[in-house]
Amino acid sequence: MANFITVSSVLKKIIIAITGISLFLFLIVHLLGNITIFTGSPPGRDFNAYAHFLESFGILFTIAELGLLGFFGLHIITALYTNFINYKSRESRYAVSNFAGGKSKKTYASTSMVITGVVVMAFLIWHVLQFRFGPYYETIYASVNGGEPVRDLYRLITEEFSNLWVVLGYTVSLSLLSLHLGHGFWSSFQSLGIYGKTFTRVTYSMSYLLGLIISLGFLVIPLYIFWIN
Amino acid sequence: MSILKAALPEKEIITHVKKLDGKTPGGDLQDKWSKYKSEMKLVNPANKRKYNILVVGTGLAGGSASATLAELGYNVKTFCIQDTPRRAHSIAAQGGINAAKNYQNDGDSVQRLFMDTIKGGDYRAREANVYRLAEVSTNIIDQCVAQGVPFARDYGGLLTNRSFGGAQVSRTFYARGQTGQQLLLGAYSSMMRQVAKKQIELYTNKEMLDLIIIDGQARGIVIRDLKTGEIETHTGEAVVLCTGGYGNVFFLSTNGKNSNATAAWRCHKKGALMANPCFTQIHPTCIPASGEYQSKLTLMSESLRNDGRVWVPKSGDDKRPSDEIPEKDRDYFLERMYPAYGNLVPRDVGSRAIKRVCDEGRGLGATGRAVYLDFASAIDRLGNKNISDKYGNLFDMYETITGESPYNKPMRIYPAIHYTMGGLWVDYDCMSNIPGLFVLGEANFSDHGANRLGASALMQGLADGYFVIPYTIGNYLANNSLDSVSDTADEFKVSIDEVKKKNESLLKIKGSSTVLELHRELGAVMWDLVGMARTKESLNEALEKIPQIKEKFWNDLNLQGTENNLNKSLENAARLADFIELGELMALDAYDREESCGAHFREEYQTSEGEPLRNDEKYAYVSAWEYVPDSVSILHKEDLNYEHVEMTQRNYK
Amino acid sequence: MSDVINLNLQVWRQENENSDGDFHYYSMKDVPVDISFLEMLDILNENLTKSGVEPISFDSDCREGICGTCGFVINGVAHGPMARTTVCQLHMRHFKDGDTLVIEPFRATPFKIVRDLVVDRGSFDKIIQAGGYVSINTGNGPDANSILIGKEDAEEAFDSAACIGCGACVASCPNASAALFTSAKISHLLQLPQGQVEERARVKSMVDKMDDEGFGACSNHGECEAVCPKGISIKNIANMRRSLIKSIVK
Ligand SMILES: Cc1cc2nc3c(=O)[nH]c(=O)nc-3n(C[C@H](O)[C@H](O)[C@H](O)COP(=O)(O)OP(=O)(O)OC[C@H]3O[C@@H](n4cnc5c(N)ncnc54)[C@H](O)[C@@H]3O)c2cc1C
Ligand code: HEM
Ligand code: SF4
Ligand code: FES
Repeated sequence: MANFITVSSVLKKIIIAITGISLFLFLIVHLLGNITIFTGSPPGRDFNAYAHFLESFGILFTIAELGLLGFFGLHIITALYTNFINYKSRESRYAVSNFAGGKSKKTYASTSMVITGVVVMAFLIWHVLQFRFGPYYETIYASVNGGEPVRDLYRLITEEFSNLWVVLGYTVSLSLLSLHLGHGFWSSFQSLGIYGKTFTRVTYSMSYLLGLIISLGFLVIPLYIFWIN
Repeated sequence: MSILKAALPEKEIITHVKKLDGKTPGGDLQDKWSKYKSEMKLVNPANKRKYNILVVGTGLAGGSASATLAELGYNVKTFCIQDTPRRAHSIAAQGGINAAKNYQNDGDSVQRLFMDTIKGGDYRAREANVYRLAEVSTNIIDQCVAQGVPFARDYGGLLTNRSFGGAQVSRTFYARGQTGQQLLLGAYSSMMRQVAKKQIELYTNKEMLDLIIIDGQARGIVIRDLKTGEIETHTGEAVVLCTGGYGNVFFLSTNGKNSNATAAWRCHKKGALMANPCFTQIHPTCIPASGEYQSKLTLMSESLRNDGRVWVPKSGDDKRPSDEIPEKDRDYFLERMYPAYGNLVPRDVGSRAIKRVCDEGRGLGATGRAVYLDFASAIDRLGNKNISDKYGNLFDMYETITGESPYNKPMRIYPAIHYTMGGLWVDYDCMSNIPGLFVLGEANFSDHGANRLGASALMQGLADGYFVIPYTIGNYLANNSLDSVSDTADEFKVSIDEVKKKNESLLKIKGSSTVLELHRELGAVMWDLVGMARTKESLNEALEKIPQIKEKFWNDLNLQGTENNLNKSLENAARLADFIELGELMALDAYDREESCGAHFREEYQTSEGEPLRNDEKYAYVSAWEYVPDSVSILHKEDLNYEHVEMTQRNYK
Repeated sequence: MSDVINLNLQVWRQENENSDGDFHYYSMKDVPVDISFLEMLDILNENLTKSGVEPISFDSDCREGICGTCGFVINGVAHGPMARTTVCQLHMRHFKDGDTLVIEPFRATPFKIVRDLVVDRGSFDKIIQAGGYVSINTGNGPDANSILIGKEDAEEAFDSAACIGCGACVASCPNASAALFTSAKISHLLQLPQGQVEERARVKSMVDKMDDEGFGACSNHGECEAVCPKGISIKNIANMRRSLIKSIVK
């Protein structure tokens, strides 16, 4: 740990970027998996089948989950520690702070990465408790698991997302995630030293859009389910 | 109290004239330096670390000297006013640095650079020094490139050059318009390397206020910590003064706000001779003062005169905007007066012509101190694009400051004080008449005679610091036995007392005139009477007025704050006190020199074409003034003997 | 457009490093629009001196945007509202009659406030001391033209080398990071053959020094580039990071 703390600020940022971009990729995979909610009949069959498929990897799945947890942990610890150092770097604060505009990439999103991050962290804990460790329903499909019972996550989802407060909670959290990714996406390339005049212009200009798309992608589910119920 | 009033106008009163020896080594001009170097005594490497060298100033001269002396193994302590050495005023030099590399194969050589410099200086420089300068110039470029200075290159990867005034070859190396910055950062980085190795102890935010002489040798300095006001002392075996020029005597100049004469002047008061103080250079193309609040002037590269045409309205009453004044009502006075060179006359000639038309009441704007530099015909001829390729960044800079675009409206320009050729007198070793006090860069009276060529100051500063002082200081140390001194010696105590008393007395005056007002007042007198054209009468008047300003300064100064805190007004007041005294000496020097040479233009002495008229018979000497408290300074003359060059009349018609 | 404007100034005043500071309020009448911001403060200081108040301490030297001595924050933006402009080159014509301007020193833990608006940026020297040089002694350089450097490379190296060390990047960075300053030097030397020899040792040591001095980490806000009077690009920061990765991987 002492070793970790003495790692240079630049290296810490590289760690944040590598973990951040990996989590970003995970989100994309997660999002693609979510599409199954809209397919198959009866509704939820494909989704439950997909979930079962993942679980069927057994120990490998657990390792993947722990790995993911590790990435989150590394990302969060490094980011929080860095922000603590950053905070100490300006002991006397400005009375007025502002945006220079022009070439600046400073936004409300970029300056509130810790806030959006911490909210996302809380959200993730909630999300995991809600579903991964939530009530265990079962269901049976002829075509899935050779007709044996599988976990009915779809039912859990429909139950949860029928609750207005849950949907509102998701909307807020995912909006903040979109801001986190909005700055985070282009920024992780910059942190890894990948800069090009056009490359950086393009990644930056699509960054916030991408964040929005991903968040909307996730949001569609609670909204859709809330809507049909 | 005037040291001179009684003496004037009887010039002959300056009678205490002594002869001075520049200690130029013998031998052929070409071999002097190498022969001299090979005969010098050396300091044993193990002994070098026993020597403490105090370097004051971190410009090109001080930065390069500190780094090189530290590399050789001396213990170096370096001082500067700013919060980091990288801010010395050398940073502001734009144009470039000369070197006789002959990379362009256009016939350049050490000999030619030497000749150009001697001629440019109007035969008032020491021959052997100038030759040495030209000789080491080539090493400077090698050194700077090795440090990573990003000089301009051509597509093949080789260094390119530009041409500068006073030369027919292309020998100026440059890094965009920021050559001084890049060279200084090179020297600074070498210095930082030695600081990291603990060979240099760095003292920033410190101002040298006195020189300590013990047994006739320079052995220490007294400094003020600008943040706390504390007075500190440092001892050493030699003091290397690299504190820059004194152009700010004129208040408005292209120098930085911190450029000052204090260190040099306090050395002068301790016995160091001040040489040729009246040799000050005016640059014709600066952005004019916009009003009374102007705090300094900004230089615009003189390359602009290649395409710009200088004019004023024919009538002083013509207040129409420039685009409404038809051709017939314009006076392109440089083209009219100097048909052969037109707008490209040398700096001094152009500057004087501009001043003349403004004095006639034809100057522009509220201040009446500006003329047009018009690019309209060049834009018609070459198009906006071509002009912007050539001068784009200069035009932008002009627009930032004035809010007007030179693409649509003619620029306004006016001459400004730019460089001081005068300075503390030094011999061939760059050592002043006080043993152990070396003076480098713009602070010494230098190798530029009565006029400096463009791009030669950077060359001189670095030559002194990188390639001259490392040898000559060793020779001095090896030849002299220097007993150890302690900073509790009486000399230090007396000096500390004096310095403190001086600051206290400044704070005690409690009058009504601010430092800025008094400085402006001094500047106006210097500019009007000791500026680019001087007469016996004007100098007489200056010698009457400056003591009055001094009187006013010491009786009516309004200074707030205390001495034991950061107090910029106090710093400026103490510097102004020295500027006033120096200004008086400048007037005296100009008064004494009854000839015109280079930038020193006495209206009484000009050719029928308005060129400076030298008097080699009587004035082929360096004037080096010795300070005498409460009396007329004593003039020491170093005769200039030209063995290799024939003195001729400059002619630019 | 009128030729003079009136302003309300709110200026940070602090006796010395260890004392507490606070804002003082001054109203300025008839400020000519042709003068620079520092000249406007000169006038204020003249008035203060005349009324027996100690003038405001602020730093400046060249007053033409090259020495990096001047600098403070105006209404939350380092060096004020104009891009690529130091406060000494900022002219009053860019302000409106009746504007209220809050003027604060560059704030960052490693930049100690000396007095009022004056800060000490000596920590920049320490970063350079950690390796911002080519290790060559005077007189050892080979002939200048024996090192070939393409025009584009020389120009790019220059772009990085143009930094004036003003500290606005640190001042404007929400994290008070010195990444732009440090990387500009690293990247200047990185782009030249002379500098590449020591690349690995340099980047490690300079980055560590930057942290030791108490500067924050770069979060890629890019505010530094926007306020930088020389327009130093955050590309340099990317170069520094790549160089650091290289130095670790090798
Ligand atoms: C705008 C401008 C453009 C120029 N362009 C060119 C050009 O293109 N080519 C060219 O060859 N020349 C040019 N020159 C001239 C050249 O820049 C200077 O002559 C040269 O840089 C002076 O260097 P220096 O080391 O002697 O002094 P400076 O660079 O002036 O350094 C003086 C140092 O002394 C320190 N100092 C001063 N007083 C004290 C004190 N009392 N105590 C402690 N420290 C003190 C200062 O802090 C500073 O570090 C230009 C000059 C100006 C003003
Ligand atoms: C879905 C989960 C997350 C993803 C996809 C993600 C992604 C990213 C990305 C790509 C970056 C940019 C990295 C860089 O600039 O180099 C980043 C930065 C950051 N992340 Fe996350 N992140 C996630 C969760 C979190 C969480 C839970 C926290 C909790 C504190 C957090 C805190 C931060 C912070 C503070 C930064 C900015 C670091 C800095 O100051 O530069 N992130 N994140
Ligand atoms: S990078 Fe720009 S803002 Fe930062 S110190 Fe250098 S010039 Fe100033
Ligand atoms: S005073 Fe030199 S950059 Fe502003």
